[in-house]
Amino acid sequence: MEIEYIGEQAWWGQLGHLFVVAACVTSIFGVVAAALRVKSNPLDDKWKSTARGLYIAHSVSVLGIFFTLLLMMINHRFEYHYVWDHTKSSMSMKYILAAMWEGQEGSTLLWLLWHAILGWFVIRKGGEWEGPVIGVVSLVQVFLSMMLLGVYFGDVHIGSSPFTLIRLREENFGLPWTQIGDYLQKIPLFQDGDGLNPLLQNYWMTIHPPTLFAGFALVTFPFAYAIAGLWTGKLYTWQKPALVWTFVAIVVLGTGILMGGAWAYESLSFGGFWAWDPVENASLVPWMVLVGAGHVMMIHKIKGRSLFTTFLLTIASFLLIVYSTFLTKSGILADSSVHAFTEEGLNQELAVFMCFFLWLSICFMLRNKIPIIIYTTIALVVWVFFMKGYSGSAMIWFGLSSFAFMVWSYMKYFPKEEKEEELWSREFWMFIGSLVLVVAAIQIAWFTSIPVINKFLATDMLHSPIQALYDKYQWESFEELANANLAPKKPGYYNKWQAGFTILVMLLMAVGQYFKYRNTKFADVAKALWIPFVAAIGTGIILAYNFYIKIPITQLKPGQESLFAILTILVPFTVFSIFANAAYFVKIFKGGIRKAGASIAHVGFGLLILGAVISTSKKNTISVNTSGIDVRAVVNEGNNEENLYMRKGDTLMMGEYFVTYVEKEWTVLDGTDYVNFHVDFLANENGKPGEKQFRLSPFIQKNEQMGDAVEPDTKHFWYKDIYSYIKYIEGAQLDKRTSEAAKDPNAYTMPVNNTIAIGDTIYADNAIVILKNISRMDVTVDTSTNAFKSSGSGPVDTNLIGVAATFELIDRNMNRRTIVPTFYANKVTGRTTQLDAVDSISGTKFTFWKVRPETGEIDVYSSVKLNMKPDFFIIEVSEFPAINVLWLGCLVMIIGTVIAILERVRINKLSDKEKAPDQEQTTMNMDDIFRHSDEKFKTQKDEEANKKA
Amino acid sequence: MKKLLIIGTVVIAALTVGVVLLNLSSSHYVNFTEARESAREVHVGGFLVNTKPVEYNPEIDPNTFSFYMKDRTGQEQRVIVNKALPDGFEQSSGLTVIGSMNGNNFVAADILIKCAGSRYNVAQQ
Repeated sequence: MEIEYIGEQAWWGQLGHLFVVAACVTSIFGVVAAALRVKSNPLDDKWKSTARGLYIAHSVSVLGIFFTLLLMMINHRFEYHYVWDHTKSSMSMKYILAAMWEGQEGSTLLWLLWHAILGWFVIRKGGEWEGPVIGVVSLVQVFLSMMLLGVYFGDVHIGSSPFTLIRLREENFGLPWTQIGDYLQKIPLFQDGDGLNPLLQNYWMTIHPPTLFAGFALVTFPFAYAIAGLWTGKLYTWQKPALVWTFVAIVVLGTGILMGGAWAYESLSFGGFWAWDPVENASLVPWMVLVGAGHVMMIHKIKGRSLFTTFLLTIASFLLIVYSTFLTKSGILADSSVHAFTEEGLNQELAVFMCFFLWLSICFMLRNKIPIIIYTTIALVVWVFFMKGYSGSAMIWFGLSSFAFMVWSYMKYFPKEEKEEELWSREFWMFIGSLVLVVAAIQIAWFTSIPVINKFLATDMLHSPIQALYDKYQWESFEELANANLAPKKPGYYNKWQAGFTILVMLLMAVGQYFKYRNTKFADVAKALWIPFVAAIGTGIILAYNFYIKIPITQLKPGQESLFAILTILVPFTVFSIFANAAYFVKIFKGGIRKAGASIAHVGFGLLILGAVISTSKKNTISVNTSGIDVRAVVNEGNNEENLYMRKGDTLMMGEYFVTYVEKEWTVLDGTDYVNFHVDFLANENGKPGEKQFRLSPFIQKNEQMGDAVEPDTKHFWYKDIYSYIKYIEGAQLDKRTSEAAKDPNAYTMPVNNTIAIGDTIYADNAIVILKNISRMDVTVDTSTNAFKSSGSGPVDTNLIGVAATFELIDRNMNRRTIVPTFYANKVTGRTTQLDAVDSISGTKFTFWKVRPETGEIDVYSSVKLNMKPDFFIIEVSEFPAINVLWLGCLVMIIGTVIAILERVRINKLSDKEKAPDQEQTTMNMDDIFRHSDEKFKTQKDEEANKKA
Repeated sequence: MKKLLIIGTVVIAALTVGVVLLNLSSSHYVNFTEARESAREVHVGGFLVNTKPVEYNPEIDPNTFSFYMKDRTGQEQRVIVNKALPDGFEQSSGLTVIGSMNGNNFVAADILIKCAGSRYNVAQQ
């Protein structure tokens, strides 16, 4: 019998699903139309309208998915899992977009949407490139829209749909409640959704993911141009339009990454802006490779050199984007990252996505049928093994064969420059710079991939030979490889390596522009550079000396010596790079600001690095323990002293300030409760607290479902930030009712039980008590009051057993007192009675209520007067020096790159219209010598192919 | 081309040897038995033992807390962490501690916490 579900609106899901299927189908046909279009005669271009029509249909479908989901969320359709999981009715509408892309499906949708939108720029401006580029973009869209399908083909399920009803989800199959027609009314759980994680309820969550995914989507376009170039045989001209896309992608993706850092710093309590978390690294690596690709494209454009590298790096940056999606969405990082998705399921699909585009790229690079057939056959065989469950070995074989065919393609199909590079030329050092970036990216990618490497090491294919090697030679590193349990690296490890690479990058960035695109006299370069060099090295050494050298070795933390040694070199080079590019900017400024984009961007990057290096390495935690009980006297286990215990009214010395906890305040915003802790920073006047300087109010966002979210508060000075956040607070302290109840002077906290033996310690709220002795005593009864007494004038009651627990109490002022709670048992009736011991000074109460003769332990309740319960928190306060240099650098870099992009667009337009030589081209003269015409190259290849045949 | 070829070869060789092999092995995932035998810093993954107390006395030492943890082989071990007690610690669905054994305790310099996803659980209703 069909069950009628009351209150369910199934049509939302059906509509959404329809749009997904439509997006999928239109993109598949879009690829076909693009293929026909590329094959057809470009003069009449008869497939143009079909291809465009399909792209319109595709864009409309993607918008349809987006708005259906949005409206479902606005209308609180909690019968849908995605809506239930990410929103709730009390949530403010301004977070609706944040909620939409909180989940895996939503972020895929965002990516899909950006592709669909950005494609229109190609249709508007792409000219001859429109057909193939839209074809490649559509192919990417096929995979992305399939990730939203959520359908099953036998055991294989493809994608995960945001339009699935909760009762139809896999984990709920066959559960009894799914058979109840009015489950939405009956089960309270479905009355309201789960809501957005409180940590994500801020404007960052609204702007960061769209920017990052716009960056991701933009990286697809240089890739699409590269593939289009291979596809249409125009190997030498795709770089010109792709260069603009590349630098736009660099700006947007870079901004997205930096926003992530700013978010982490401003409103998440990660204690910094960059933690080398795998999720952060996963988007940084493609960016670095893309920067390399952009610079190599520039070399290619001017000198016609490095053709293969333009392909290699452009394709690599796109594949790395897909790989980064694999890392963050497949759940493989679950152990090593704080904020990766943990749900499994898209693992295989994402692996196939990545491998497909690797296969496609290599096929296009193999410009001949026979190797394509061989390579494809290998890929298919590998795929069969992959599906059979040998995924690890299959991937290794696929990777190796792809690499081999790529090398082969380079040897066979790509022109080699006959002439040696000139050593003292801009192109040579720019190429080296790109290479350094790529090597640095490989270092990050490799260690971020450790969870993946472990999976590979665990395959038979690698495990057996490594184990054999270990058995033979007993080398420790082989043992670890054989165990396949390598752990991810700590941030310090990345810092050291990347600081080293950055030294090289900074040096190259400083001198690079002073060379021309041909052999330049070294003396000329030296002449132009010596003033910035001397000035920079001087400034840099002063900075480095102050920051890293003059610190006594004894004050360094372990591992800091080597980092500081590297930074001592890095800082002067960074300053050199900033000065040299600034000087270059001044020198060429006469040519107008339009030409200065690159130097501005380089100055910005230099500032960014300088700010990042100084603020991270010189982060100074000032909330060190300067008061209270000496920790080591009580606990002989070390501590890192970053956090400080502060109670209301306390005034403690912190760095150059005195800090006092004034009060806490409950506020409500958008239906969410906040607890704000007002902390005043006072001047230090000769060791005494002085005038109030400023107030910081770190706060806690209350959320019963998902746990409270801690948010920092920061005071910005131009030269440093003071950053504070609550590290720990007792749950009861956040409860407003507790603070109301404290108004009753006789109210005590809920007693806490302690089972202790002689010598044990109870850590009560206001005191430490140590059990010194347990003793039997005679009990006398005071006849006038009928109360028990351990000593007195009355007769001894032999039916009563009295036990006294003698405690030594140490209060916060280190005063010692003795308190004796007692316990009585009546031998005849079995009744037990207790006499509380109250220490009025500390407001603590102890109740001795049970004896455990078998172990010699006793049970004691401890509680404290509510109005004397300490109002306290644990706080961390840090100074980040020079962090504004970092943010300034970000801004300058973005401005510089945007100027460079606008200039590039202008030059492209000029050269399209008038074929006028642009400024840069007048400075080069080797261009045409190295530039092979497409036709010539094509005929060469055809001849070779004929020979082979 | 020669220059770049030489540079390329040197870079790739240096990468393979330097980055990949030498530095790969410094810390790895183990269980507590293996941690006892290792003098180096290790990673241990596992779960919080909910039945045993999480000790944290911020007034005495805000920088240290201790708890009992079960590794993936089911072995139980007291762990001392030199940090403030993280928010939501008791609700964690998984833990990774990074440190080494010191006497009977595992002393962790760092701890990674996997938060339990908020999944509906209709069975309990």
